[in-house]
Amino acid sequence: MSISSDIPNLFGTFFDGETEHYLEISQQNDAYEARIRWPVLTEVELNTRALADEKKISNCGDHSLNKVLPVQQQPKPNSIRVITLISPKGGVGKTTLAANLAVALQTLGHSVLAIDFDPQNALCHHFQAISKSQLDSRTGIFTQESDWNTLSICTNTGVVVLPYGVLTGQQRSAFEVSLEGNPQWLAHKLRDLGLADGTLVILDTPTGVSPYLCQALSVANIALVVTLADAASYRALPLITHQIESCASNRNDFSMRYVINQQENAQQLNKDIAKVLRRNLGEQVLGSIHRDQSMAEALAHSRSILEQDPHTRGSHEILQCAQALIRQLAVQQDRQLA
Amino acid sequence: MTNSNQEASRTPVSSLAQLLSKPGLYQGVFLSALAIVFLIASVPLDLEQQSLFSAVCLGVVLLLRRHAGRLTILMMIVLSVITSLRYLYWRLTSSLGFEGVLDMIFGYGLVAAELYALLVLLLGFVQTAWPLNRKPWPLPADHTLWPSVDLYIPTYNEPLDVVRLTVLAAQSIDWPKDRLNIYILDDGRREEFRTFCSEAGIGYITRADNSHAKAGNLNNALRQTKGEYIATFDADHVPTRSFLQIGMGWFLKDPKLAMLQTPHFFFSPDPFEKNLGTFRQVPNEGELFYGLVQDGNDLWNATFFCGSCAIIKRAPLEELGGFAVETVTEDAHTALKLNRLGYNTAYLALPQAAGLATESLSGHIGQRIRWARGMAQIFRTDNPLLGKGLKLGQRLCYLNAMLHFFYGLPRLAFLTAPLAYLLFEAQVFQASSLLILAYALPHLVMANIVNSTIQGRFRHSFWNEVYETVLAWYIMRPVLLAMVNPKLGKFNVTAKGGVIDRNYFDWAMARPYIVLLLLNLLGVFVGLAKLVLDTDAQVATLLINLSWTLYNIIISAAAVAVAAEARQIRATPRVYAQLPAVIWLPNGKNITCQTNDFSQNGLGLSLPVELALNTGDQVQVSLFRGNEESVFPASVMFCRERTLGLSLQDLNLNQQRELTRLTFSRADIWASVWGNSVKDTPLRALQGITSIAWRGLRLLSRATINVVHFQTRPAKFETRSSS
Repeated sequence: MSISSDIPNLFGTFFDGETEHYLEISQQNDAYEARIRWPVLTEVELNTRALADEKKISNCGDHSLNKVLPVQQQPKPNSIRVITLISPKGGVGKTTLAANLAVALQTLGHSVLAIDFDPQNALCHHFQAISKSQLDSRTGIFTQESDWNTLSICTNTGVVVLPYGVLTGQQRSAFEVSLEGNPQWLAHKLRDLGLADGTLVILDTPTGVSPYLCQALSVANIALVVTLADAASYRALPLITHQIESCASNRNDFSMRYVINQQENAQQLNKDIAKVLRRNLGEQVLGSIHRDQSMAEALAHSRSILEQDPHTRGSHEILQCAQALIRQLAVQQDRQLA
Repeated sequence: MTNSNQEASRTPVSSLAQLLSKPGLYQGVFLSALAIVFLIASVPLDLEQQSLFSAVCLGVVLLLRRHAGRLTILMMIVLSVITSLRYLYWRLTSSLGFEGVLDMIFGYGLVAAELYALLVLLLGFVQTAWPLNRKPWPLPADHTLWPSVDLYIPTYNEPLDVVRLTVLAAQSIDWPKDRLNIYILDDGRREEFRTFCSEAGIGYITRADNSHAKAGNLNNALRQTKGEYIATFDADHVPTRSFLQIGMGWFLKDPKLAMLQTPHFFFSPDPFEKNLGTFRQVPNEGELFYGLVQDGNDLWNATFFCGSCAIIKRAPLEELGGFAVETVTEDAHTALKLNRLGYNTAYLALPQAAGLATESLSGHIGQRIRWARGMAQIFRTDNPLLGKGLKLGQRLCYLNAMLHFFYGLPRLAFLTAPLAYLLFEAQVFQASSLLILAYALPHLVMANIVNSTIQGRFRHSFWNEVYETVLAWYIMRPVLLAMVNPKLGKFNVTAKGGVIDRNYFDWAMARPYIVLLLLNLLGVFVGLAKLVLDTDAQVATLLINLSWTLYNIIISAAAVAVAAEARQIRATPRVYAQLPAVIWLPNGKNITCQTNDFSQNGLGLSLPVELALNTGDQVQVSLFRGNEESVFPASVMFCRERTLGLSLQDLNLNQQRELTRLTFSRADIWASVWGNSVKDTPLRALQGITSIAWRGLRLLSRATINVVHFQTRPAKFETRSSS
């Protein structure tokens, strides 16, 4: 269980004590009360196996999440790292989060390539520099022979974006069939790009289980599951996590993380599910993003929330998630070296 | 860190105490050291030799002060004691040949006051030379071994708003719920309180009469509950959530431990801090006691109970027959009795609760009168020097705690002593001025420097005089009365949480300081007149007495300044703390920001950008503790530039509990500001007091002009705050 910051501060600053044995009654009670309030819902067992595996390795406590590291001190991955965004059900804000995380990671000093691997082709709407002409129906990652280098669009935020492109239904089916025939297609494409060491790749995938998901998972270093703290998402989670486990388990350069999106603490159900999620998933919860009008307004202006409203809670939380991602990648890298 | 190191750092048995635990060695060393000190103190020296000796001692002390540590402080104390004893020896053997009745009255009076001051100085050194610096002892990881606790909140006339906060914080204490029972002990027998207790889900205990006041109230509850431990909190002392987990460990470690006290910390300014504008700048009156004296007492196993913010073990308490009821300071007396039975008491210098300081000077004085009277009662009825069960160290610590409250008369003597010469030509020193200087100055200077080094973090130089001067007249009579007959006197409850709604000058309270001030001013005029007009005047003696009088004027004028009550702006005091927060604007945006301060029903926020908010706008605000977040409805009180004031008025009980959990009950909230006042240097302290004295003079003249101008009798015009 995580310990709230006031306890480590008291123990560390004033008498050098160990906080492990401190018993936080209130937190314990909260999670307990939440289970009592929603008994049917909380019967659903979430997978916590990965948590047990990683407890040994990860030392970034929850309270460090709030501390903003200066750019120089941030660990930089020395080869390319892929972060795949996944959602168990539609409308959880996955694409919005992908775009905003890409900008946040870029702001923190990393080179970022954002690939839209979702037929909705929505990622490009979050970037101002991408105009209609650049979204020609002939271009898109689906084109078998295409050189991704020429397709990529450099946006004003510094993030390089690869749009999915606009497809007819027929084209799309053909593409998906070819994907299933060639499970390594995405891996090869990425390799052929010859990205510089340290580049971070953000992959946006379609909702639920799809041929895209398996390809994206085969290259992913972090599978970032975006979920809402509502009943539908909560119930859908086990299915998707099972799929992720079967595609990418047993790789030591892979980990699964969760982001709780559009959290609303004013609603009891939402608050309780978030608590249960945090309690069950522990450090697998990378962070939560609260519902914030600025996020919607940013999309209306085709820009990220960091540009739209830097002081809002959404901005802070996006940045915190980006930092947590960087830390997680660094931990993975240490593990690989060791 | 190795295991043995850990052991050493946690065990409060210091190396000194280990030495002292070998009785033979200890007594031998102690006696020979005493002999040497007395020998040095009594060696006769002429003026030049004495001056040289003092200069060398002073030089060494100043040098040691730069490297203040435990051992250097012990060396400084030895030097200071030698200088002071030399002065005492000289004073008693070479300066007493008084001629005439007037000389004898003033002379012996002053000598008696000096003897008292010296005794308290020496006892103070014993008490504070080696603070134990105890750290919390960890509790066993197995929660089932944690004992059950009854948390008592005795109240008599405190308003429900004050008590509510304490209850909500007590409910947030991190302790297994089945082993923590909270009770309000209401001697006011108020229906409103009974209703609140049932709403909040805590116990309500009351009784038919109020016999033995607070002690009787606690004893009544003791008979009705069953917890293995009792935690007591005054109605306005708000505990942090970590209180029990921080404090309980020592009881499980030491089965003979009967009481553990933690500091009384105040989040609102006391009348000194409020009226002089010294809040968090100059350590307040209580800080020396909780910062240093109790920690020093702990070494000698003589920590005493202070009535609140403490844990007591039930079994030893029942062995005593409950809390002591013989005196009006039941707390200290209870601890004394526990120590007499062979139980240990402990002190943990880590603020784990905070309360409201008394609002007005009159309330403050009333409280100190009770303490002084109670201590005198214990001195009379259960003198720590007599009776069974105490070790020498315990006797001395308790003795000093009681003698401390006898300062009334001696302080008044010092404040008027030079007048004996200036006004009545009485020779209180039968010695040459230069000799007086050569003996008295080193004694005073060194005692001040050494005390500043020991106490600097918790008491600034010369402030002791200010605090004592304000109280001297008021505590002198009850103490003397209690010495004559301990039964005289009534228990008075300290009023808290009142509001002083305008500036006013408390003439009634200030009367003694004004008299002292005027007398000393008269002394200066007479002295100066003699200096100028009287050709036969003893210039050196006059100058010595004039300087002393000038110092007394500064101190009594500073005391006058305390009586100018400053208006209190807020009914509920604010706590300054930077905590993360989020504002939920009506347009759906959430802005991340920080608190500047919080209170029971308001927040001050500092914003990253200016916001277009108007007074009366409804918003929501989130506060955090780790991952926990709570959202509260709030209305805008003001929004200026990047500062936002919010009012949280209409919270239900659960929301109030949440708010308390995220603010007042944070584990580190008080520890982080404790003992952090500006560092003491004697000269800067004197400068500060002098400017306060100057303000006191101006305030007094303005108040006088006001009174004369309105031609109204002060008693009618100036009503004291009703408390």
